[in-house]
Amino acid sequence: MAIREPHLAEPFQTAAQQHEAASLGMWLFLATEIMLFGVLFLVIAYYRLRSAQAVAEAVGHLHALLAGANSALLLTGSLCMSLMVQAARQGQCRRVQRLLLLSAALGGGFLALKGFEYAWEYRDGLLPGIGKESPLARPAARLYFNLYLLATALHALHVGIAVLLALGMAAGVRAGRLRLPARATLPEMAGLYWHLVDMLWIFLYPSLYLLGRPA
Amino acid sequence: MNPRALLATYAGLLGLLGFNVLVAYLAPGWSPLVLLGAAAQALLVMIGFMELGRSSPLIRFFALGAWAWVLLLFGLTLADLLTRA
Repeated sequence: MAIREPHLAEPFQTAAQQHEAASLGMWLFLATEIMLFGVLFLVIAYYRLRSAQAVAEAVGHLHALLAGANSALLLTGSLCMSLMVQAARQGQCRRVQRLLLLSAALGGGFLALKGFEYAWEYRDGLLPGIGKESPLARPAARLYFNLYLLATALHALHVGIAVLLALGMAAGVRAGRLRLPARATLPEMAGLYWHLVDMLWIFLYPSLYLLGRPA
Repeated sequence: MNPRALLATYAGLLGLLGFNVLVAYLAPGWSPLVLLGAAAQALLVMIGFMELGRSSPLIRFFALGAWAWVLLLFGLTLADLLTRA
């Protein structure tokens, strides 16, 4: 009987088996995330179809260019994660660490910019329930801002988790706990999570900020 | 995926982002086009970054299955909303 490599988990005999099982499990988890956000996207679409004018009023108050810059940050983070996965497969530990830290910094930049945007909206009285009185006349427009806050905050939570994952793995590689390329599957799965978070923003950005902007 | 293909994917993603922003600002009447731009971006991420093209058929089935359920959710709900008198 073949002796199992020490980095393989119990039921697996080969790295390819373990990689396939890990990818399948990860995609199943990502599918639940897609369905979770799918419901949010549906509610956004429903609002837009039911109260187009009120939503246009609310969308006119959103800072679309700032959020566009945030999109670019997240896409660049995704590129870094993909380059990191390549480096991990080749066992280039120092490059993996650098790219993980760069991705984490870009994710941190996204969160900082998002925080700045929330602060701006707070000053304008747009955030629900707090601050001065809302400049939005229609109740449905104020309701759209609740939805915007819920969707973006849930997404920002995901970005925060992705940043922590990147930092944790960078520390693992540095401390020698995460041996590469033997355990390259782990950074690869974290990369998949990062790309999903990116993909959710790819849909959130146009559906919240860009569709139906008043001329 | 080699680094050159990853960079090409990244360039495509930024190009589509620029297209979406330009459409939303310069031609608001055409803004539903941004959804097409977003769908193209998502495809690029799934094929270019998530390497779905190189994955086994079972994994591709799981990945596309999630979107199929979301499409069903949208289809049934919006069919009701859009056809209600």
